[in-house]
Amino acid sequence: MNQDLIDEIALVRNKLVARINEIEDKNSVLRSVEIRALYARIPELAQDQKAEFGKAVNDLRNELVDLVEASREEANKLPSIDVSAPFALNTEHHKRPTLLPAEWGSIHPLLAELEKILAIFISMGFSVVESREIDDDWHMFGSLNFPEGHPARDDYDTFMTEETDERSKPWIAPAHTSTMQNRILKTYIDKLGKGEPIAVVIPGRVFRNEDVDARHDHTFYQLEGVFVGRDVSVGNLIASLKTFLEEYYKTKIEVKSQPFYFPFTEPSLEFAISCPFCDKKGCHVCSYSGWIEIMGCGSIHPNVLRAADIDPEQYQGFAWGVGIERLVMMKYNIEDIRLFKSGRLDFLRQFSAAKGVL
Amino acid sequence: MQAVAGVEELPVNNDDLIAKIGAQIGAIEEITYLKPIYEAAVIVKIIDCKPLEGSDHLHVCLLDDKKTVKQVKRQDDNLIQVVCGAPNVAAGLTVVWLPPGSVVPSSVGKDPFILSERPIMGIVSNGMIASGKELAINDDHSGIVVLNDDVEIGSYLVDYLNLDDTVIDIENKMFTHRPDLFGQLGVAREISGIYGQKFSSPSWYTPEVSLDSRGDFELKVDNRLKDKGCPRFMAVAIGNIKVAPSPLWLQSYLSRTGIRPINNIVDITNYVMMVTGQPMHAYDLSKITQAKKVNITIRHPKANEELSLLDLSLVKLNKGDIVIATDDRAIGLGGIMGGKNSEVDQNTTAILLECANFDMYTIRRSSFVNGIFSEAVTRFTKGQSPRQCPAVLSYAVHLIKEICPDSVLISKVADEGAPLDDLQDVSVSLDLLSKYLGLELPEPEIIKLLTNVEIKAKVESGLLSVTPPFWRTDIAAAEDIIEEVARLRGFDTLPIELPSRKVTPANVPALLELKNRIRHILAAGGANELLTYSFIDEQLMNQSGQDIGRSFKIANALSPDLRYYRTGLVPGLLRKVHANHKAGFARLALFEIGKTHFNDQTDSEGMPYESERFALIVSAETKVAKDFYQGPAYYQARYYLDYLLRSINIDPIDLIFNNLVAESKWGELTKLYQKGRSAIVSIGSHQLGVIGEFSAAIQRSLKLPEFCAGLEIDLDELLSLVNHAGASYKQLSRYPKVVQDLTISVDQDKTYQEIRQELTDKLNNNLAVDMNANFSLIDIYQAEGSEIKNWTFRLEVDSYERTLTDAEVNRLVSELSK
Repeated sequence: MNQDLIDEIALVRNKLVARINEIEDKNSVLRSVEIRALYARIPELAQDQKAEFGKAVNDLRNELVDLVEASREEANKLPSIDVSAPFALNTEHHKRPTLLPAEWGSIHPLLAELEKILAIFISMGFSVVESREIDDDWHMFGSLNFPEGHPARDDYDTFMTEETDERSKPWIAPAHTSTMQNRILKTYIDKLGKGEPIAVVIPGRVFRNEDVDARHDHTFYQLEGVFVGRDVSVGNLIASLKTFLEEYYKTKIEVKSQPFYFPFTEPSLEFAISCPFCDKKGCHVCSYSGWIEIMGCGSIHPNVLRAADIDPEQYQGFAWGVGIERLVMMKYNIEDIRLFKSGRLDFLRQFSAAKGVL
Repeated sequence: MQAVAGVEELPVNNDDLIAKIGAQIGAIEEITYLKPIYEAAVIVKIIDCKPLEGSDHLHVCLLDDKKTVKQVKRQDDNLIQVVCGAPNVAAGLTVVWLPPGSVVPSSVGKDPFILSERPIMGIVSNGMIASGKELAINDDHSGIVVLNDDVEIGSYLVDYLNLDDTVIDIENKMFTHRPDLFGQLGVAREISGIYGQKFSSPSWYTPEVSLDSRGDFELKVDNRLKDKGCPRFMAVAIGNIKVAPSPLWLQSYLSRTGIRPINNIVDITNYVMMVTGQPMHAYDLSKITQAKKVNITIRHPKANEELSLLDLSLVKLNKGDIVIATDDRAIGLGGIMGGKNSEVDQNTTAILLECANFDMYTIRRSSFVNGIFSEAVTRFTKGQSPRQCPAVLSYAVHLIKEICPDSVLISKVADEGAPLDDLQDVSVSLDLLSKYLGLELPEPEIIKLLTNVEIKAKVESGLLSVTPPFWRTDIAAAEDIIEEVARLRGFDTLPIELPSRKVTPANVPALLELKNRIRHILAAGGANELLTYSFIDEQLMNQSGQDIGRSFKIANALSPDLRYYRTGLVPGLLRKVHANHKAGFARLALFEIGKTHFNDQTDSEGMPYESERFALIVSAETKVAKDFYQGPAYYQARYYLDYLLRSINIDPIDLIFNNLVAESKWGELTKLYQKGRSAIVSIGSHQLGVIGEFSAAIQRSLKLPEFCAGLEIDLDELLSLVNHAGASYKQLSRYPKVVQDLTISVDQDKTYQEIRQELTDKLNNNLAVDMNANFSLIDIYQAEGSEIKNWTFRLEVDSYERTLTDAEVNRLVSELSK
């Protein structure tokens, strides 16, 4: 490309760059006569200059697009403020920052309910430990008597990460709060020596890789319970859960338990209660059966105790896991589990403290 | 149900049994009462069958039902006229007739088809003669069902096929450790056990059984996986087979249990599996060998080996799979499915019958890798007992002989496997048993509970020891016996009593207490707590300027929307702003408390570090914002921060605001927030978090209004401040308080925190020891065009010892104003 052409482009560039800073309608620069004139020159040029010249014009245009964009951002940019000040300058008193009306405020119904549930267990002498949201294979399976490759692992549709731990196993999004059992037993093992039981409840988020519908979500809250001591019977488990549920629903309930299978409890039970909403007469909450299956539980498997260095000959224990969403949905007649994570204020503000709902 | 009753005599009523199964065996998914479905069907004889004039396939039939059915239009000779289109209809046949008014069984529960008397081409037809498909017994719709001649005419189908039965579908999740409950024999034994009655397995179900066979077909089995994968492989060749549809009772049985009848040989293998839980397979012998001998090898696949299965899928075999093979090719995927190349069909005259045991871990992996799930997989992955193979094989041979009377064993029975260990006795002390049960059961009751389900048990000097029966693979530890006793007796019969324990205080983590306090404080401040998912999508990560490379990635995400562990809470909250404004909530404050993760941060135990966060967004629709607020949204977010801190006894006066820069702990948020309107907030050495308005880009992409700001706080940092925060109470003075305003005029670039610091320093220098003072900002004014800002503070001073004079307060004010 000869010097004339280079100069020609440079001249147009200087002119247009200056214009961007001057005029209001900055976009018009991109459609200007000068640019179009440069493009119009291309067909007239000698074959060997066409490509080079065309590219130079394109580069110029792209540069101008960036400049227009930048100047627009600059124009729209809000002025800096004194971020350490409590309010803006020159503001009238009644238009300064203020809290929203208290009656609009709300605690999320799941967590409000969880707080009440924890309060009951605390009153029964259970300590609280919150569960993790990323854990390892050992805590999800190994420490809970799920051998490597055991088919029972398939009952938990577990999310796994691409990242791996030092044993090259993927990290796991816990599918149950039981992942915390081994840690709890190890943390509190000293209590056993002092003649006190280990009594802990563990709330937390759990994750299941399953299809989402009105009753199932891939993310939900569970409350795990662990109790280990001397002379602990299956009846102790049933009585503890019954006592909690009667306090929670503020009514007398009947319970029944049927056999189940979990690798980490033996015996394993599925725990059902008489419907607290219809007194066993049948209603939509209990699907007109009078009974509601509410959680899985059982006596802690000796291998789980051994994994935490507790001698199963001397100590026995029980554990349970209950879904919080279910309890809350039943209590307030909530139609769709997905509402909990919807962030919809028409849902959340119905649970405002001022309304006395919670 | 009848399969159960078939092997034992339980004088029980249906409803009671169903309730007991639900309570003591497993959750019931579905109950189907068969009698109402079939009770109208009558067995009749076709007396006369003539083509219907004008039709190319319809026949007019006259049926004899021995006058069993009352409400039906009869001919003078009491016969019933029915038009039938089946190609195999003919006079003299014994068939099943569905009278008018009855419902076609296959349509029950779907779209019930009620039969009537109706004219077909002018001829009245009363109901219909049924095909196997219409009776929901098999898939055969090529013609009507034809029964043997010896069936009583005029009798009900219900009586002939024993259809006064109930199908109880039990959820199998609780049977994961009970291979025996995947066969009806096991379920029957269990039911007997929970009824407290003694069960006796049929005489053929015993581990010591041998098949007498002297055939000259040479069957050789080389089980190369006997130590890992295939603990036992039994097979026998059978000749003189005649493949045909199974007898109706067998077809009806299989369809009741949800299995499609195919032919007598396949049906027998399936029937035996349904009874015992042991899968079997039959290969067409002529398809695997032309000679009078065959070598069967159990091995892993060769490189690039492929196999077409019975379901027509082509499997590229993986190295962990188990292959059943002849010398030249694979004929089955062990424990999962047979090969297409050796399928039994109507031309089959000889079979190789396999009854093998496979390792549950191997089968599970193989099934997963190949994506094939079959009835056999369901059963083998529960760990079937290799000890039942001989009994099951000989029972199958017996049934084949019954249904194909000419069949004959033509080879010796092959039985290649690892030697079986002796069944080990398992014991538990009565003391431990009593602890678990919460009561002392009398010894005879314990023994009876166990022997009812054929578990040999004895008590010697306080020790209960049992010999696991040959079909159980799950009794290995003391707790397994305890479970057995508790379950058979019924958990609900155990004494229910709260544990007795030492009274000690329960601990609640300080962090949880702080989180609950925050919830209540913010809710009282008109804010709404919401929860979003822990997983977010790439787009939101990008929009909010977060580094995907630092986020944990879910390998098996449900959808791309849920692929990344969130690294901050604010982006998820921002996504909820626009929709709520649109829904009519013009002013809002949303907050969330939750965990965030970075894939490059670990905690002291080497686990991924979990950062506990609190985030808040304030926002107002533009029009409404003008009515309520003057000045940037930043200050509204700031106000909530001050409110929160004050409420947990932290004085917001101590907050320090620094520019959000890339090099800081919060550096990756520089793209999320707007420069000049955001800051890192700290108190002392604790970097609490970030507050600010959002970048133009995210405002645009998430449709945020102009009046929108937020903050995110590290709760572990906040907690360490709370732990140090003392009581905020100041004793009251008995002397009056003096209030004075003062205005400081300074250069516009001076920030509030600089001015405040100077003011505090001056106050400390000029305050007498008995004096108490605090100041608060009440106004900031800047005249248009001026470069000076006027800061007006309100000063409150008092003394614990005396009434202050105007002169000394004025002196103080003038010192401060300098």
